[in-house]
Amino acid sequence: MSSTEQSETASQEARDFLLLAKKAVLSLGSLKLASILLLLLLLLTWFSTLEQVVSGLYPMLEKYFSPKSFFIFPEIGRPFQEEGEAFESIRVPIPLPGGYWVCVLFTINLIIGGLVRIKKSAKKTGIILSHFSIVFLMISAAVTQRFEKRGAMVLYEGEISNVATMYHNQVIEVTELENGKPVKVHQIPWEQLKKLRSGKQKTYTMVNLPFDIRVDKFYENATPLSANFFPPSPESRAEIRGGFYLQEDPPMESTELHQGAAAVTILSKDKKVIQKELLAMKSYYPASLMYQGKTYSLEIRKEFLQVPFKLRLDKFSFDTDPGTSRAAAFESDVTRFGKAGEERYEIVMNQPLRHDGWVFFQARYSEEPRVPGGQPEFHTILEVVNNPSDQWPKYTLYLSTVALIGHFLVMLVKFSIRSYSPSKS
Amino acid sequence: MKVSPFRLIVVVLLALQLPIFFMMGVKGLLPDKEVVEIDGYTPWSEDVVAAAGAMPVQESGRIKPLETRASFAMLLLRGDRRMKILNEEGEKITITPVEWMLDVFFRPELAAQMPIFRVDNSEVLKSMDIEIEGRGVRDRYSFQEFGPHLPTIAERAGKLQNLRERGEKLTLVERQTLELGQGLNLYFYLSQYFTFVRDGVVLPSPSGGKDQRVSLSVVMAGFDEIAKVVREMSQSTGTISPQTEELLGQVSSAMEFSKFSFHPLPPNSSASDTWNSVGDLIEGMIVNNLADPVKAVEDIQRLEKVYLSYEKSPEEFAKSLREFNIYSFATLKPKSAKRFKYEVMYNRIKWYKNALNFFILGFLAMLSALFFTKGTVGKVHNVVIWVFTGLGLLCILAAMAHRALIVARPPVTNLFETIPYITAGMLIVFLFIETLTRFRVPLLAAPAIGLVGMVFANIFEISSATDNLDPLQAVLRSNYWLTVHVLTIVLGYSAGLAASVVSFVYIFDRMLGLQSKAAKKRRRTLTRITYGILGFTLVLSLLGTVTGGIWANDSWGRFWGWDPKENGALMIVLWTLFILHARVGGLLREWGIHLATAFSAVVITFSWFHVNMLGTGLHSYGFTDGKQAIWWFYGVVILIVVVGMIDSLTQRSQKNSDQEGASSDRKKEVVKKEEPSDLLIPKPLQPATEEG
Repeated sequence: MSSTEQSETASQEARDFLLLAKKAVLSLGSLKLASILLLLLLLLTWFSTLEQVVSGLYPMLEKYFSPKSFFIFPEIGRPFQEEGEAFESIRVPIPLPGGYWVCVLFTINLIIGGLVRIKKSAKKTGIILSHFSIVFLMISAAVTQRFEKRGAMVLYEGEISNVATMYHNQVIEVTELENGKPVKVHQIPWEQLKKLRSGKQKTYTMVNLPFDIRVDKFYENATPLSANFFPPSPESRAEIRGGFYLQEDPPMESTELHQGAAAVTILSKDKKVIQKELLAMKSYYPASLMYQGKTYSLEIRKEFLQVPFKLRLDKFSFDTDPGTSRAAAFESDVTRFGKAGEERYEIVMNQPLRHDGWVFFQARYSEEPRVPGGQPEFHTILEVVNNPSDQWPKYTLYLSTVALIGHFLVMLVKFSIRSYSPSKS
Repeated sequence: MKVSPFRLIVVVLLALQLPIFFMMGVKGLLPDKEVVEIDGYTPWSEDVVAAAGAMPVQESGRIKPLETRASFAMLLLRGDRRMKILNEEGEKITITPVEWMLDVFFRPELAAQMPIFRVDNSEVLKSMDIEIEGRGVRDRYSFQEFGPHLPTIAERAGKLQNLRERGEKLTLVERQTLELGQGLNLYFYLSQYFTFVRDGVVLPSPSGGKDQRVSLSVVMAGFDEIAKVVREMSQSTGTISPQTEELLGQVSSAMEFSKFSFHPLPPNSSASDTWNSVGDLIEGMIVNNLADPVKAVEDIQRLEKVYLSYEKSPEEFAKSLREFNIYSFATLKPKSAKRFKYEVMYNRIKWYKNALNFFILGFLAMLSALFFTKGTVGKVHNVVIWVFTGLGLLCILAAMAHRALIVARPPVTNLFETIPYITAGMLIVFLFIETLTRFRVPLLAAPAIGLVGMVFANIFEISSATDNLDPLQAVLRSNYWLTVHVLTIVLGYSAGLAASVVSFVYIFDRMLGLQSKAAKKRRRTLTRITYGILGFTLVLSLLGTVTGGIWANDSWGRFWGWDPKENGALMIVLWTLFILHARVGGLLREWGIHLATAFSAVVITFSWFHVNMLGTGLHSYGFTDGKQAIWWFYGVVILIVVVGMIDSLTQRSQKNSDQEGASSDRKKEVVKKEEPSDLLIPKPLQPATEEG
């Protein structure tokens, strides 16, 4: 074969390859794929709705919509089950692709098929705009999943705070103390801790600490029990430390109620055991450690969310419907302390405070003592959210409303004009 | 072309599933055949019933007419708003909720004989070893019959209440037992309410002479003095006299009996908006926390006067009730007074009952119209159906507007209210299509939809037995979002169900196997209608879902929380999108579109009702019974869809073999002509040719 022939064959192969690649990319935007993906999304939504009854919302989301889930087998409650009977769940023997990847593929399909490949004409304006708004909505969902931070801020009247407690993330915190006051705080973050839920053990070295911490056991939800009063069963093989051991509690439907616990060992830098401790969110007090003349406190708690400004609760009020204990409305009057000075706001249901990318919602209220042993006091619980795409769905709505209603009206007028009447024919 | 008998039988059997399912619900609405005989029963005069029904009372956080209160109490206990009894003269008397409540208050000895307690499952009684002879699995009992068993039931219900408060889930029988206990409790306190007038207070004579009987208001007027004496006695001697103790015991028991379930007395001070029962006022005077004790005594006297006038004559009683109403009505703020008047009017007009009656008439006209399709008679039938269906629809719309005026919020705020709204939405869609196309199928379907919708609303109201005008949860109190989100999304349900109905008609029609030109044309029109309604469904569901997300973002701080109700709305959007895209993408043809659209009824029912029964999520409030009915409904729809699928495959293979046979005789071009290309990528809203 001559060199010209060879180069022609090579360029033909390259063209074939490009054509194939183009075909593959275009097929990603096909209507058939769109239909299949819509069907898969429907099934995922349906099963995820049923599965959250069985396993709770958060575990369901991790199973269905985590990037790590490529395939899942749904688990749902047995049909015809009576309330109050021992709850039975069944595993549906149908493998479904992971929701995260279906959403990714769906967005790609929508961009290629619904925006790039679609025939552009005035007639299709409504459809193209609504496709665009859905793409924007998907992007907003992805931004939320990646960047959203969320927690609860508990405020009693007169209290000032810039800290909210996150719902799920737990951390192990080591605090250096001087004269009983915290000087430096070191953390094992949730991203690390959650990897130990499967029972793994791991040693953490912190640069500024003269010792290492080995997490022997971490439970997302557990209770420390006295070995004297509640001796552990032999098969549990629970290690008793200081007369206590950790008993893992079953997962709760509302996983934000989980209270974690960990068995930790403090090791010197040459790996000798200094101290063994049990840390539990259900304990009243943190563990303490004296090492090389310094005092440290160790605790496990929910992660804090730092807000870049402070908020003071000036007044909390709530109304009930007359003659009942049902809350009709509740309101938190707050003052925000910012660089420009103080500003007052009223946070009520459906009317949050939005400032500088942070949003404060009137979530609920409670009546508990401010300090242990004190008188119960009504106080507010604000949901604090930081989400860059907070308002994006609203823009989507405006766009899709105009697009769809416009398209639908055009179709309706056409339908009316061409309407078929058997009696007329 | 004739319809094959086999096909006809299959279609009739399948189509019958829907009315059978419907009749299962209607069965529960039918009145008792058995009529109880109560000696000495005389009906209340119309004046008394009207005056009593218009008495303002406070319950569940709002002021309402006693008629509303009585109506839902009777529904809760008896599962019906009517009761028929025979008096000693053999006269059949129908008792309304107000009359029943008057009996409970003023003639408890007669009311105790009435079969007011519905027990849906005899296991409830068996579980407490209670045996009442000659009763069925589901039956109604009187308070008198339960009399000897009251301690047993109260004890069991108390235990179950404790379990529930500890967060434990109860079985169906346990739940029904608890409901029975609560019902008996409500009844007991209502029937004992006026004991404070019937018995009065007996003042024991200190000298051993004849005891003196005085009214409670007299005792309460001097209660300050009594309290002072009690204080002095207990300070000086450390004890109180037996006579004083007896007196305090009587006051305490009057307080206990008249404290619950009936709050007809206006607030004790202008600063409060909480209405009182007699027991509340007695308690307030005992603990000395009333703003105006003198007014409290006067209020108790007013109720005493009402009771005493009952003993005089019906005329006196009606007059006294009216005077009491004028007094308590005058204490209402202007807005509340206006709303209260609207509600009295609403109870009187009974919009939904009228709507049901119009739909029944329309349905009968529709049945007749099936046999008279042509000529003047056919046209007259069409007009009659239009008139009755239109009147029914107007009644529903008027009821929704009337209710919105009463509670000053948009007309759809709870599950009950979605039913008439969806019915009205479907009717508007069908009548609109009929106006455009004069196709007759939407017109014939309309009264049936209205009838089913209103019967369903009735069944739901009976099974939930809660006043659906009561205040909402705090988070739902946003008229803006209730209008923008709820009205849109529920209208989306409405459109989706309308599309399903059209598809059911198509499936039955297609299964008959008719191949005439007219039949094909008819089915093409059905397809176009379905496609149009699906577009409408998509617009409304998508906008409703997104507005719901935005509301959630303002209330709970997140656009999407995978709450079951949110997911349900999304599922409707996804399923509708699937049908529309699969049609354009060639995955679904005419049969497929209709089978998929018929299945939409399952998706919408899941979103509309089923998710509220899952017991999880932020929208899990309201009605949670009737799971089995939903499963039955799913079963019926899926059966029709599956049989339709089998038939579509059969028809396709039949057609293919016919075509194979024909192709050997015909030229290739002819075959090409019969395979229209627009089936694969049909243009929206253009008649598609039928394909298997």
